[in-house]
Amino acid sequence: MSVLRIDDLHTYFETRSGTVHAVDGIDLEVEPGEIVGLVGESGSGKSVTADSIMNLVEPPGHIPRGTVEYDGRDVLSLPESELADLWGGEISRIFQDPGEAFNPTQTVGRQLHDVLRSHRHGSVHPLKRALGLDHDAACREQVVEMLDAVDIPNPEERYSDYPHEFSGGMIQRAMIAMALLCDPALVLADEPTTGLDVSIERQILTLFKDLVEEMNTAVLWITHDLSVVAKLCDRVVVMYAGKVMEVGPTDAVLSSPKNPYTRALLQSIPRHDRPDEDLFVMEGDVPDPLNRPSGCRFADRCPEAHERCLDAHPPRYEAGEQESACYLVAEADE
Amino acid sequence: MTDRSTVRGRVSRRVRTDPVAGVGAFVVVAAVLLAGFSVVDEFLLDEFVVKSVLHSPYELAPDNRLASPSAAHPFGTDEQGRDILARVVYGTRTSIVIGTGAVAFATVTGVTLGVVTAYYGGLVDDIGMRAMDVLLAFPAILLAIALLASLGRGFTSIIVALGVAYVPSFARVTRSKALSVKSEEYVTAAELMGYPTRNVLVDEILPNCVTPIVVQATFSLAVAIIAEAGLSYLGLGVTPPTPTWGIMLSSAQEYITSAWWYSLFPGLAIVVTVLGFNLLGDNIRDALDPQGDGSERRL
Amino acid sequence: MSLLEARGLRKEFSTGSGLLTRLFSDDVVHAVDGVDLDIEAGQTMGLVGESGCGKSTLGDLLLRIQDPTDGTVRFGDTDLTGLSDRELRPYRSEMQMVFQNPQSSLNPKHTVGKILRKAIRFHGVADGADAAALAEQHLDDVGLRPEHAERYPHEFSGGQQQRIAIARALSVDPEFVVLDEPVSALDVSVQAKVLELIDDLKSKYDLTLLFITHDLNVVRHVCDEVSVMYLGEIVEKASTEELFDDPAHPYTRALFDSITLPEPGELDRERGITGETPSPIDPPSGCRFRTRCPAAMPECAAENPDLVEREPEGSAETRLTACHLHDAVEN
Repeated sequence: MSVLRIDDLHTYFETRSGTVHAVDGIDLEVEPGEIVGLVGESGSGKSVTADSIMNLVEPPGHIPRGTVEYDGRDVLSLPESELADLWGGEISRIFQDPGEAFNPTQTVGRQLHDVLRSHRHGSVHPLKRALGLDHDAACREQVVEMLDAVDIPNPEERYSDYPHEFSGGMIQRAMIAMALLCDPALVLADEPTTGLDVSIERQILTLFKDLVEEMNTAVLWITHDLSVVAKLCDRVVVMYAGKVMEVGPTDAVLSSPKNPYTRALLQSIPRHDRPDEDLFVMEGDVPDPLNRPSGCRFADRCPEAHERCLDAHPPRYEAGEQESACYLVAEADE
Repeated sequence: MTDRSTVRGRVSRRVRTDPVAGVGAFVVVAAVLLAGFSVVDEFLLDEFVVKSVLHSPYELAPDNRLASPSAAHPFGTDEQGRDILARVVYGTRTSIVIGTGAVAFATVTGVTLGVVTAYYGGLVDDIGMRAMDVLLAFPAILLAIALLASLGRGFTSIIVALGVAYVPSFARVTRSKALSVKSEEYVTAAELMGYPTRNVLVDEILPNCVTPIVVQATFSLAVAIIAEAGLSYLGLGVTPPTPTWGIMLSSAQEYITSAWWYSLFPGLAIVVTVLGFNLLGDNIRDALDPQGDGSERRL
Repeated sequence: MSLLEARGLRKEFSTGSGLLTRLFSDDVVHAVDGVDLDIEAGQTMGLVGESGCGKSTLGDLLLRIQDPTDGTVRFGDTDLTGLSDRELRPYRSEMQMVFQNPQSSLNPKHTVGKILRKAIRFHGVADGADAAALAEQHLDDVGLRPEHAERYPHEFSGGQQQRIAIARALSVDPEFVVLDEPVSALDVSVQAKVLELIDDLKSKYDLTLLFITHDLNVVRHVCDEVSVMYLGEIVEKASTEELFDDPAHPYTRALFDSITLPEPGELDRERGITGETPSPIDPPSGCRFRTRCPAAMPECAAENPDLVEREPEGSAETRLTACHLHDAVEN
């Protein structure tokens, strides 16, 4: 059974100017131990998808249609208390901004310790925690081990350091440590390496991949960076304007993309090994989320669009090892 | 883009839809109109309008002292027989004029100080802000009283005295916003274009500091109105026979049990006006928040 | 003679804020620590490095947005170094900049038209109605329409805002433009559009560009020459082709090892740079890269290598490298 299964998910936001169709009907699966990349540019709906998976969508956002199943359970209908158990324990999230994950007034070690402890022993009375009476030696030891596993030097001493005492790369590792600490079944990583230097990014990606493979953790890695996806992910999902355009094994999608959007995206990335190739420039702009076109979302910018594309957004068709939402694929078969 | 994107647009929409914001705006507009009307009526029309509808606020009627509210005198009369309603209306003038004057003074001085200290930083900033700290060390009303002692009584003195007391708030608010604006790249771009410093301060930085200054101004106006009432209550305000709410309250003290209307109506006037300005200020401040209607989300 | 020349540029920051800390603190950040640079007219020079290497500060120093602690900057015939703001004013129209974050580089209270017209009028390029017409023409240059002049920056997408910023820079008819990470904050598909635009305008207006970026892929597409920066110093300079064919300096090689491409495959664990960049307050003695350099030798700790011309066999171009390893090879 899939660890995560998203079916026909729609997430809308009601605003004064109209309804924003942030996610407009997507399907997605993540199998145990699999690393899936969710790729999209601004306006694709990828971040809202992450929020929807954790049922963090607040009004004026709502989910009018669709299901999100974690391990067979419908996440969207779980009561608050059960959701709280899931988060941090079985499903954890890594953020782009460590400021969102760490409390600047507590030591990093302490915060990891608290996460592990509440996962193991349930919640602690706040007074007890404030007085420091909830300290668990076993948890502390495991935290130090985890800090070591993410290649933070001197983990014993770093346990007592505050977030601001960590460099960018180090705090990102600490965040990975926090996410993997309770041995989750699924990790949602939301652009965690964007903004880091390439050399540090590579170190962190290598480390992360080793760890999740060892722990057999399933991962949904959300990013706009296809290069990261290329090296890290087993499968990739390409999103555009709230819809899934292509899905398939990374190798297949990147070396022989079956969707014009994926092709256009790949061709617009500058490559040092192809200096003479012109970059493909997509004309126009991403469609207004208040006013999605009725046909294929990419039709007005697609170099291969034809009449049929204007009727309705195409369903996913099988094409080789992947699935592509494109009428051209269907027609190739016909 | 609709006017949702401008603060003014958001404020006007809230005023139309939210009753609380509407009340605030209404009160402020009413107060300003009454004040303007009083000025025109008193100085240009020789109290013509007031006299035809009500009575002159200055006309003494010793045989009608402390009359309770009636059709002829809806707010009653004071201890010299003067119509209280007319005096309350004319009192708006004092409050609004002094309030606006003080806030205008404080705004011009404080904003200039704020923008200059934020932009130049260093020694200028240190000296400027320490000076503000000195002013802030005194409770505003005491500072005003001390200044009045040397300036003497009268409209201008009160305006200056109160104005000086409020300068630090404007300086701080402006400086805080100007500091964050200064670090924006469009300011660097303006410097790179070679625009002279004065132009950068006035045309690039200042317009982006306006909103918190406006919020501060509406709140300061509310405070100034109370302060003016307080000063005239203490006998330090404008000279009689100019009607002010504070003086009326002061005189009404003696008759608080016998002529309840005398202290009620001026007091009510103060409360309503100050509340109105506060509500309006709240409204503007809430409209400041661009994410207020939750419509912008990362996708 | 090169269009732009910098010699011995140095920029130091003290780390404390507040009167007392500034007076007594010893900690100084050496953001730019002795840089020589030459940019020929009509060239596009890339300035590459990771975050914290000082490349943005160097750009600021060249344009006199910040004042150097030491060193000189010559533009054309003029030494810009000691000039006051007023003296610099006429040169402002010759040297412009495009910033990294398009949203914060345009004044939200000004219409796009006003932003352009103000610059055009201030530098006397055109007056009155002519200024408005010229502004519209520049908007057209960057692929926008005349009616866009009446709109405010927040009404545009990131890519469009960046194009407006480019229009502003070009509206005063500059010779030299510094682009500081102009596409890093943009979506991939939008990047391509803006890069293409920069390429077109570069030839149309015969511009000399300094393109600051951390992305080597972009450099390959846009730049004629490249300077590589590390911890406040330039460690290598070469033509783009030569640098990519045969990077000499160990840091450059390490940067290349870290380049990512959307090519399926395994993460290459062996390559890439180990460790983290040392703090610019207290850089390593001698060669700054020695703590992470696979080829470090004893003399690397003792003496910081100079940026020296070398001519590798068979090459007509001169290249500059700052590395003892290459000294040894030459000798």
